[in-house]
Amino acid sequence: MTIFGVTRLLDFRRIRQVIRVHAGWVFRGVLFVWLVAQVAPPSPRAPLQEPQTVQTLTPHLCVHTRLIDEVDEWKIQRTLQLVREMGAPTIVEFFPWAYIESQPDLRDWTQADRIVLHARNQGIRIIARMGLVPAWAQQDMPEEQRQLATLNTLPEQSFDEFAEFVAAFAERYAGTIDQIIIWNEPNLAFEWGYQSVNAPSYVRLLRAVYSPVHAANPDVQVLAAALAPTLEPEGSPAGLNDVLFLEQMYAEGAKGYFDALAVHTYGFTLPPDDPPAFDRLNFRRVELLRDVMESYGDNEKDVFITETGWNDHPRWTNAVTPSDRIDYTLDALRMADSDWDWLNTFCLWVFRFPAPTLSYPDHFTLVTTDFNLRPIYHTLRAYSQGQASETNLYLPAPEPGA
Amino acid sequence: MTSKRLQTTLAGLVITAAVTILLWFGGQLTPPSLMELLPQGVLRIGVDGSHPPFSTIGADGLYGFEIDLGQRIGELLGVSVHFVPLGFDGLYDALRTEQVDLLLSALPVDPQRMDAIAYTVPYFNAGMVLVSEDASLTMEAMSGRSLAFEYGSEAHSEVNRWQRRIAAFDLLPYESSTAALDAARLGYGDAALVDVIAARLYLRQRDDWQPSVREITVLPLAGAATAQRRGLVILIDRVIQTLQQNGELDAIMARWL
Repeated sequence: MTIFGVTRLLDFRRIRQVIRVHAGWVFRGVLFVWLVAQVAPPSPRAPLQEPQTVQTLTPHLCVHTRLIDEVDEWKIQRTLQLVREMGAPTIVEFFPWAYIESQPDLRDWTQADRIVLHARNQGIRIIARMGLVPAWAQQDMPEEQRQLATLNTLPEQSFDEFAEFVAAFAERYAGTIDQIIIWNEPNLAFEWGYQSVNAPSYVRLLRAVYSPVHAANPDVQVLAAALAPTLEPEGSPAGLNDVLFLEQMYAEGAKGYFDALAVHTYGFTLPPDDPPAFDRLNFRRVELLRDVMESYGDNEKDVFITETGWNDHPRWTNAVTPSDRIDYTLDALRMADSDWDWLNTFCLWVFRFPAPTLSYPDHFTLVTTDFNLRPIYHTLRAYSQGQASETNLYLPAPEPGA
Repeated sequence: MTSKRLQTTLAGLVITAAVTILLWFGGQLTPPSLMELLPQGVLRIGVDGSHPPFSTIGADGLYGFEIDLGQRIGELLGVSVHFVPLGFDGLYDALRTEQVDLLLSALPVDPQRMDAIAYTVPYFNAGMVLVSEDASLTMEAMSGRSLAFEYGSEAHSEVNRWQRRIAAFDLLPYESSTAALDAARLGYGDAALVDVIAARLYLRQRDDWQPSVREITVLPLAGAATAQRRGLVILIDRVIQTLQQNGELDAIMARWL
């Protein structure tokens, strides 16, 4: 019986007959495909090198990379080579839950493994930042809320599932990744899925994650999320002042549920020695957060600056000139090394984007998308090797009549 | 197949295609009414207020090219406009969560977002330009000449591409695009490669210098709405096209850059 022609299709006698009759064309076809395969360029490869180590005089120096969205493996490798050559022994990298576990309990570690493999090969330590919620973890939300959910919307009923994922991550990469940041800037409505920011809710998230992650990797350090430097007052729909938010976290009993604090602190248009103040955003704002920690007796914990830096876009209102950016960054690094014994890392945002934003955020990078090294990269590389900065990267400004 | 059957089949296919096209494009040509799109009669526009000359927050509120453009779009649509300041990272999420109806925020058209985002027709090309006193200069004609640019910028990347495509030319890297333009103006180099905004802002302040400005790359900036609100984009497209045709868009632009 013929079912939809299948029997006929599987009639091997007939297939043999067709091939015999059209042998010449079959041969030409196979030859054509083979020739095309020879002409096509081979895929770029990224074979591992001899294991490397980072040679540096600045062990705190670190950069935030963006490798998770990088398609080409050789670009991951090239980025990490440049990080090592710059003298940064540590990177912060984002490992989104939604990418790795897009289906419940079906985890695809391919890209994370690739990043870890190349980082280890270059002798670079990774601090992992966790976040981004898969759609399946939002399914129990009321329909109206789910329609407006973003990738940053983590409903409380999914905290345990997030914790399971982070624990699986901690177990898989134990010994290579021993610092894990739980979420990003939960004091901003945007980063909290446009729900009202809520320190008690964030503390419940830390509490859900802390024990499972320590059970999975006893050597792990759970880092409380870096808060966004912001002056938003209580009740603002956009977010809440970072110093107030940290106070509220401690008041809710967060102290027992994190091992170190991640911090974002930016200089904006001000030099690094600009004094800290509650109503002022500058580099030394981190000292106010440290004061909060100490006021709750949390002196033993380290602070990891996981994002900092200056932007040198020519028109952005929060930017400085490229030479001020270099000076301020070096001064900040010196200050952090000498004055802050509680500091573990000084991570610059951002090493390189996999694709340019084509707007002012591109001027936070140290290396352009197509691997042009920006002046600040050269300066940091020289500084980490104890050499004088290269000064002839660009020409002196032209002067009339010179 | 007999020729009569073939004719019948072809006729059927033509009719089906015609009906499909009519339903598809007919639906698009008749956008929903403004009342359906903006039931409160207010167009909420998300802007990044830290990006002059497009939009900036000052003591008296928001100002800039995109603020004036947004106001004019509202006037021509017959709705009031409410600007919502947003951070760069939160722009698209603010659209998705319906906090704003439209983004006017110096956004380059991003093909990767087009499944979820509907862009308006572009209202500005923010690509790179070659600024030179020699109007005949092009990329090909740069061989043997000297080119100023900002070190480590997108222009620098473009210069690297040119080095692979044409015979050697002298590279003049400067700290900023302003210094690169100074170099071209003061005769240190034959031309400067900079973004068009830098060039326009620079030339506004130097009436005495009128070089040739040749477009080199295209970077279209456009408004954005969610794909579900394509009807709103069609209406705004019509307004922008009207402003382009009657010269108002150029006039608004000339106020700021």
